Parts: sequence; structure tokens; C-alpha cells
Amino acid sequence: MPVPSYPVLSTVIFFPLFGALIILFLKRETHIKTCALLTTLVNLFLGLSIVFRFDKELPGFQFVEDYLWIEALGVSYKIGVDGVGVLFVLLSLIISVLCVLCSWNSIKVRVRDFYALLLITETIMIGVFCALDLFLFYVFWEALLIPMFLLIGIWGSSKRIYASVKFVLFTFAGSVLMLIGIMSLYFMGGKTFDLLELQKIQYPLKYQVWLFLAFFAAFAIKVPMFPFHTWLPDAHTEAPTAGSVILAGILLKVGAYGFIRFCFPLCPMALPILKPYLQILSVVAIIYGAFVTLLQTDIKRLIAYSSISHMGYVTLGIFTTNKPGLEGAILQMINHGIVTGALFIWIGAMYDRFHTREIAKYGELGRLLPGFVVALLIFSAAAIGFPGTNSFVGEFLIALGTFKDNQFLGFTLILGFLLGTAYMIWLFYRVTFLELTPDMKETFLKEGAFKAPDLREIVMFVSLGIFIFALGLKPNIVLSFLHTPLDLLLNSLLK
Amino acid sequence: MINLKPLLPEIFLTLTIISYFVYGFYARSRCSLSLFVFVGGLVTLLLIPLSQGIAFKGFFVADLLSQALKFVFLITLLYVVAFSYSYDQIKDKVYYEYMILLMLSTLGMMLVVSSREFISLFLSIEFMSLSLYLLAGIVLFDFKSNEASLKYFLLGSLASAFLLFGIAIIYGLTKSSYFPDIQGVLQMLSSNEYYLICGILALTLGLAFKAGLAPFHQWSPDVYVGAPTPVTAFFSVAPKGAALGAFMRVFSEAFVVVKDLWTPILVVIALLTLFVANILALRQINLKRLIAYSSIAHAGYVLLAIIAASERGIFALVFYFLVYVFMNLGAFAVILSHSEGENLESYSGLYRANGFLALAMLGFLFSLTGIPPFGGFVAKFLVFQSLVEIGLVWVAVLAIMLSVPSIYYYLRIGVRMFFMDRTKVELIVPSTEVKLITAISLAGVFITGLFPSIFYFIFQ
Repeated sequence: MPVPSYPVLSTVIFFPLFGALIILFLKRETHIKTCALLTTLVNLFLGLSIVFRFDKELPGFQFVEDYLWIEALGVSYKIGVDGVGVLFVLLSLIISVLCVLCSWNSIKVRVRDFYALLLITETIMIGVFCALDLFLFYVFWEALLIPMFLLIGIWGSSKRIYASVKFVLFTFAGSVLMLIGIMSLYFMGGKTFDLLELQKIQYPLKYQVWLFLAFFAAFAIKVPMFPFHTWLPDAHTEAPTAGSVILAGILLKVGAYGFIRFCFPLCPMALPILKPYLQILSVVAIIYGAFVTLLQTDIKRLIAYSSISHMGYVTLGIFTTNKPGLEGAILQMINHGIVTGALFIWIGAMYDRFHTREIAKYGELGRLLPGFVVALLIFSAAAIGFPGTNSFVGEFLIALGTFKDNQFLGFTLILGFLLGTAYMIWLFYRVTFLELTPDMKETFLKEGAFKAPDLREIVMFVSLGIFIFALGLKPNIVLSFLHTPLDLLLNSLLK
Repeated sequence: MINLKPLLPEIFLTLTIISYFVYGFYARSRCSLSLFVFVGGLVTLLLIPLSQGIAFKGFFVADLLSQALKFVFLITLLYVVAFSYSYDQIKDKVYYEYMILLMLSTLGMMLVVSSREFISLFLSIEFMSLSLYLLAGIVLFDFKSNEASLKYFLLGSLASAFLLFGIAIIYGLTKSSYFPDIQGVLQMLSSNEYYLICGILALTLGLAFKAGLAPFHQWSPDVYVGAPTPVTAFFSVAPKGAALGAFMRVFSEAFVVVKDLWTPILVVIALLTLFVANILALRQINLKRLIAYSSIAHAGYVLLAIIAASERGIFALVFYFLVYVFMNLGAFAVILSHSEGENLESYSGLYRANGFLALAMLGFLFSLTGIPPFGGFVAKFLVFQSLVEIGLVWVAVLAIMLSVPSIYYYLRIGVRMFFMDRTKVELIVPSTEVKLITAISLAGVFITGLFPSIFYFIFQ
């Protein structure tokens, strides 16, 4: 295991916090934005240096740092990444840069607080994916609530207060049960919160089931899995663009990541018992989510609901508990983070121009804003899972894993794909080809809404497009990180 | 030769009070009186770590539980003295007496948590309570304040009677009032469980009233609203700490051998308290009332640690209060920072009016809810962990589920501060001492949350 000479992972975690501190002392708006962008960019490069130095063949965690934190509680500050973790750290870094870019013009009030909060969020997100101590993990996990609450509540749209309080209530209710689970683990597993120590112990079956359910409460709400999903449409719709991108890109992944990181190694015997129910919940989320998406008239809400459906694929892939399913699920998490993030950025850019999110008010973009239509075409193709785009590979692998595990559920997936195509095509058709009423066109023209994408938007869209096609044509970029940790995980399940 | 070292802080505080009696004849300005009490309290505070051990044949003990709680009481005293200095509802005329009462009740509380014997426990509780009754009514000719005082006095005396009744029954059974002796007798006691339960019930009733636990909590919202705000701040922390500290000592030292008998009683009280307090707090629009219910809920959490009655439980209790003093009194500092601070309405757009106050308040609120990285989280963690340790996982699960609504009523204030706008835009400029107190409390909440180990350094 390569022992880093200096705490490089901690640097990546806390560098944005440092940037946030600097921002608090800046006065001019442009300085603040530039500082935020520079911080996220520098952090991205720091993160890339970790990715390049990461040894994919080595089993176990790398860049591990372990310091005693609270001696009396047996809590240590222990962080490290394996193949799964390092991908999510990278995803968080990329998403953070995009968040700064996409809020550049749309955030006009309390600019300083906004970017400071954004950077604090980045710190906490990366911390969640690196924590190897359950106490530390919980601290990061729960602390994420605070900046998200403020981001949605201060800069959100009309129903922001309702959405932010609902978000906090739901997430808090779930995570307190996980807290009890963590406490009981401490006493069951030899008075430590160290995940690596805890997963060496074989717990009694009954305990494993309860423990799984305790963690499930937290993760299922965060993902969100089917009956716990109601906070998501409100939070996603009302949040500012950057908030939606973080929610869709990272927050939802935290839950699914938790399943893989904690539930699998800690409760391997509970999995076969609970698996069928979880798979059914996932399939219900896919189908139900897709049907509800079809009904939406608000573009942002449509994308939000589609997330429920897409996260259903992810959880289904995870709970197939075989290698293609899990690899597909993790790949799909990253894909979903990028694609849904892209769609939210797209609608954010449109909202800046037209000040509406109603699908009915849009039209004729094909003629009037061709640049945006190309972007939408690529993003919605990726959301559908069109061959050549990244989601195709992920969904294919998930389907493969599902068929291997349960053929009947595999068939229901086909319905899900079909419905997914239907709502995206419908959105695309409605927005691009349908005629605008003349007076609507008049008002839009008067407002100067038909502005071609500026450089900042082009940079965002092009880089997102590159991600989509790069991962679609060469998914091995991601998958090569996953082989070693997933083999290790599946071996431990078989024991 | 009597070993007086464990009594060092008490002796010093008594001397301070006596010299204050005389000092008050010469100096009558608010500033000089406050300063005298402040310095006296501060020195007493610094004497606490020096005072370890047992005195009076074990009747008086200075251990982790009592030392840490005394620490909390004196910090509260310092806070309240700073709060009162520019609080104009407490008139100059009664300021001298007011300060005496504050110090006397603090002395009473310090004796309460150190008593290891029922008679001295009862006397100290009365000593503390009598000063508190007067404090509640310190605003002369204010109907609400006087009503609060009378209500507190009448109900409090009833509770004291029950307490005494319980002590009498226990004495009748065990022929002792000294906790270790009682424990020894109870170990051999096989029958007479009926009387024992009666005794424990009566004792629990008395102490639960003093700590403001449901179903004996009804007095506290009224008293909290009626009393002047600095006194409310004092009530919400110190007497609760004293009552719960006594609770802990009685149950973990005298009755620990009959744990099976009292565990169900306390579990019911704790869960009922959490339920009632967290539900009733949801719709409060007066902040003092809200804090009253929230402090009832917090007493409920601490009771969970008492149920554990283990070393971890004791530790959880004292740590909880150490954090609680910062977060709750920090919130009171914000309430006192502007006129109308009691009114939930006045928090709309506070962030615009004073960003620092709003952010600090948000920190206190999140800490009260128990969200990391604030101290409240570590405190709650310790409490629930002590419950899980003794195997009462289901109680922990129920209690933690009952705590979920709490985030709603704390966030209502946060929502107003950050997401709503003010009708009249004016900057709020709090006085220097309020700013300083808020900053100190915020630091306290952060430090206890991020580096709880510091706490061990002080007390071990």
C-alpha cells in the first residue's frame, strides 16, 4: 500500500473549506466567483493526481490516513479510498466545478454566501466518500444537511421553504436510525468504529438483518427508493441549479454508495433474505417513477422524477449482488450524476433566458436556439441509454446482472426502458419542434430570450458531452477501477 | 481534622456571598455589583478542579459528576450575570438582592449534586428552590412574573413534600439515609418490594418535578414565560442540571441494585417526556415557551443517560450539560440581543439585519437538534450510546424517533431567519457583551463538537 508522504486525501477534503474561508473576506463579486472557480479547479487537479497515482490492482484502501480523534469514544479520523471511493471523489470534484460554472450568472443575491456554502458542501461530499470510520462517516453524512438546507431555502424558487424543510425532515428521520445501528455496532464489534475492523467480524444473522434495516432507513431515503421518494421532486425542483446538480449528482449517490460500502460487508448474511424485497422496491421505483415522469408539465420536475426511475436501476443493479449488476450500478451512478446534472444545467440555462420551466411555454427551439437543442439531444439520448452514450453501458450491465439473477424482473426492465424513452422523446419533441404562439414569441423576443449559448455554457456542455461519449465508447475508464474492489466484496459475500 | 479540600469551591462561594452582603452597602451601581459577582463566580469556577475527594464521612463528595455539574452551574451563573447587566426589566432597586439570590441558588445547586445522603440532599434542594421561587418573581409589580413565582412555589412545595415522603419510606425500609448504606441494605432485602416501589415512585415524582419531566412539566412553560429572560436562561440550565444530577446520584448509587424495579418507571417517564415536549413545541410562537418545551425534551434525553446509570451514563450526563450550557445560553444571548426577541415573528430576515447573530443562532439550533459538527450531536450520541450499551436498544430507537420532530421546531426559527424577509428593514446592533457571549458560546458549541477530548483533559 503506497503510504503518502503528506496527507493528500485530507488536502483534497479540506482545500475547499480553505477556499470558503478566503471567500468570506472578499468583497467584489467577480473576485468571489473567480476564487470559487479556482478553488474547485485546483482541487480537481489535486483529485486527479490521486486518481493517477491510484493503483487499480491493489486490493483494499489506498491513501489511508488514520489519526486518533476522540480517544474516549474510540473514534478515529480514518480516511482512505478504494476503486469505488476514488471514482466518487472524482465525480464530486467534477460536479463542484460545474456547480460553480452553472451558477455564474444565475445567482444574483448573497453571492458570497452562496459560493462559500458551495465549497463547504464540496468538502463534506468528498468527506462522505472517504470516511472509513463510521462515526466520521456519520458526521459528514449529517453535516451535509446544513449547507443543503440553506442552498435550497435561500436561493430556491417559489416553494423553497417547504422543499427545504421537507428535505431536512426526511433525511434526518432516516439517518437517526442509522445512528442507532452505528452505536450498536460499536458494542457488537469490539468497541471500535473502524469499518475495516468491524467488517472482519461475523455477526449473528438476526442482528445483521436489524443492522441492515437501520442502515437501509438512512440510505433508502437518500437514494431515494420507492416509498421514501416524495422529498425528491420538491427539493430538486425548488433548488437553484447548482443545488439540483449537487442533489442529483452526489446526494442521491451517497445513499447507493452507502449500501455498497457499509451494508454489503457488514451484513452479508442478511442480503439473501432481504434481496427479493429490495429488488421489487427497485423495480416499482423504475416503473412507477417513469409513469409519474410522463405526467409532468414542468421540465425540472420531469428531470427530478426521472431520477427516481433512474436510481431504481441503480438499486436494482446493486441488489442483484452479482458482478455485472454491481459494476453497472456504479457506472450508472456516475452516468446519472453527469447526465442529470447536465440536464439540470441545461434547464437552468433555459430558465435564465425564458424565466419559465413550463414545457407548454417552450417551443421552436430547433429553429431559434439550435445550439441548445444539440446539447439537449445529446443529454436526452444519454438519459435514454442510447447506444454510444454512457448510460447504455450502465443500463446494459444492470440488465445483464438482473437477467442473471431473476429473469422475470429482467423483463420488467424492458418496460422501464420503454417508458424512459417515451418521456424524454416527448420532452424533446415538445420543446424543439412545436410552434410557439405568436404573442409568446413576441414577448420572448422582446426580452431578448433567444441568446445563443455563451462561452461558459459551451464549455460546460462540451465537457459534459465529452464525458458522455468517452464513457459510452470506453467504459473501461470507470470499470477498470471497479474490478478489484468488487471482486473483494463479492468474495466476502460468498463466505 | 476534617478534610475541607472537596468543599473548596463552596467555601469560596459562601465567602463571596458574605462579603457581597457587606460590599453591597457601599457599592450600589449595577456595574460594580455585577463585576464583583462575576469575579467571585469565576474564581470559584477555577477552584473546582482542585477539589476532589470526600468530606464529612462520605456525605459530601466531589467526583466527576458533581465537579462537572458545578462547572456548568458556575458557567451559567457567569452567563446570567452578563445577561442581567443591561436587562432593564430587572430594576436597579432589586439588583443587589437579585445577585444574592443568583449566588445562593447556585450554592444550593452545588450542594445538591455533591450530597450523598438524603437529608443533606433534601435540604440543599430546598435551599436551591427557595432562591429560585424568588428569582422567578423578581420583576416587582409584574403580574406575569409574580404569578410565575407563586405557581412555582406552590407546585414546588408539593413536589418537595413528595420528595420528603419518598425519603421517609426509604429510610423506614433501610434505616439509613446514606446512599452506600442503602445500597448495601437493598442488596439483602428480599421482600417489601411494595414499599420500596412506593418510595422510589414518590422520590421520582419529587425529582421529576424539579427537573421538569413529563407528566410533571406543566409548571415550566408558564414559569419560563413569566420570569424575566435572564432568569429563564438560568432556569433552563442550572436547576435542571442540579435535579438531574441528584437523580443520577440517587439512582446510580443508592438504588442501583434494584435496577429492574425502577428502569420501567424511568423509561416511561423519559419517553412520555420526549413525546409531550417534542409535540407541544411544534406550534409555539413565543420563543421562551419554545425553549421551555425544548428544555423539557433535553431533560428527557438526559434521563435516558440516568436509566443507563453506568459510568458511560454519568459521563454522558455531564457532557450533555456542558454542551447544553453553551447551546442553550447561546440561543438566549440571541433572544436577548434585540427587543421583541421572544417573538418568533421578529426573527424574519434576521440574517439581513445581523448576519453574525443569525448564523450563530443557526449553529445553536442545529446543535440543539443534535446535528454534527456541533456539540449537541456528540452529547446525544453519548446518551444514546449509554442506553445501547445496557441493551435497551428499543428505548433508544423510540427515543430517537421521538426526537425527529424537534428538528422541525428548531428549523422554524432558521427558516424565518434565512428564508423570509423583514417587513421593516433595520439593522440590529446588539450590545458588546451579547456579541461576546454569542461568540464564546458558538466557539463552545464547535469545540465540544469537534474536539470533545478537551473535556477529558479538564476532568481527568
